Amino acid sequence: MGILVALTVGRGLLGISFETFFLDAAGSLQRFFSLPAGAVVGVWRDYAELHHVREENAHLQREIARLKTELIQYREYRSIYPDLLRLLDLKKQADRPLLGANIVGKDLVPWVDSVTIDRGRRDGVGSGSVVRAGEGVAGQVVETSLFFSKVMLLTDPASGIAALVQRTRVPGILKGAGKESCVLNYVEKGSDVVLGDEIVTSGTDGVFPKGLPIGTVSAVRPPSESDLFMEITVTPHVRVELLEYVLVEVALDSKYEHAP
Amino acid sequence: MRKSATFLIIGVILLLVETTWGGLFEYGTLRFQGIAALVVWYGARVTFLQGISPVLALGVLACAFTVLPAWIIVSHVIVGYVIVRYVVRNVMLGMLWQWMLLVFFVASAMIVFIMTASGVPDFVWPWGILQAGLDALLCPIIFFLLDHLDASVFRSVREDA
Repeated sequence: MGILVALTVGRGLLGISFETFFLDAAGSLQRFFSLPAGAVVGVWRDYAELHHVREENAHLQREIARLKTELIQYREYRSIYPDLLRLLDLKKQADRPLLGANIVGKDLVPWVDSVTIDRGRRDGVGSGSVVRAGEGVAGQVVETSLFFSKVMLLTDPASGIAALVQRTRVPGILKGAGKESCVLNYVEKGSDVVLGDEIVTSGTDGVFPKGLPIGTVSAVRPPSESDLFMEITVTPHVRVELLEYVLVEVALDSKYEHAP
Repeated sequence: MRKSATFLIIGVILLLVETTWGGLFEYGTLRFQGIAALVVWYGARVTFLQGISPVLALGVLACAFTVLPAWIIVSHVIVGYVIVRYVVRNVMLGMLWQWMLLVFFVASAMIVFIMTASGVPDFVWPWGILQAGLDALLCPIIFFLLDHLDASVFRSVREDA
């Protein structure tokens, strides 16, 4: 008791009261204790934030994956857009009803150029229907089921199209010659055919309407003395290897309602 | 019966893969094809009479995937099957390379038949022979898949029983 009084009197003399002394002491102790507490709180807060960052990271990664998928889809749309525009133009210009079709499969036999499309009798597609792509003739339907059709492409060795040279009206039969090329057969020796001439359908085969573009002359080999006909190679406008979508002609008297 | 079902199911899967994804691995007229290997694998595991109906059925199913006349497609599978049956009845085959050689031989015969019948015999060399070679090179993978699938199917069927 005497000590406390002495301290109070002494500190009172020094200008320090009893209350302030205890406040200083308590404050110092609080500061001392608050240091590790602050550190613990800081670590805990960092941990909580880290946990949050982990969740956010996972969320962002999911978002990036989603956006990447969307980007790929947009790129896909952008890449097919010109083709679809060309098909749309062709559909508008055509004098016969045409129907868009997806190619769903290739022929089992690698050297046969044929494809399966997702349009069939139900859509008004019949055997012999003309198949076109943006740049010209692609082939013709040879077999149909209710929902699908087999299309023989113009480059198939079994394909034959009555054609003529647009500039000089020289007729011939366009036969497939395998990948990406055709030959114009039965063109008389000495006919006026030069490189770059446009080949169109002549319409005399009763399958392909007259004047459809087919391709351009890419090679004219001079015939030998014994040859009766010229050897003319034609490169089709349609790159059959890259075909994804086509337009298929629909029969005018189709009893089925045309799908869009 | 179960082997025949496996043969037909795998056959249809192979037909679908060849006609949809086959174009991704195409070079010239070379393409991933497993039908010849499948016919060899199956032909070596059944008797002639047991196997002829499923082979015929596979040929008929294959017709849906091509514009070639049905008789060509059906016959070319049967040609392969008959050759396999003849060879395995008269020749002992043990090593893998011998089976690969058989696949090459059978695939060559099937290709020559189908190319000649479809009017393009000039494709036999080099494309047809190269395709047969590719079939032979890939046949260990087909055999491995078929063996494991067949074993797992049989095991599950036995376990169910």
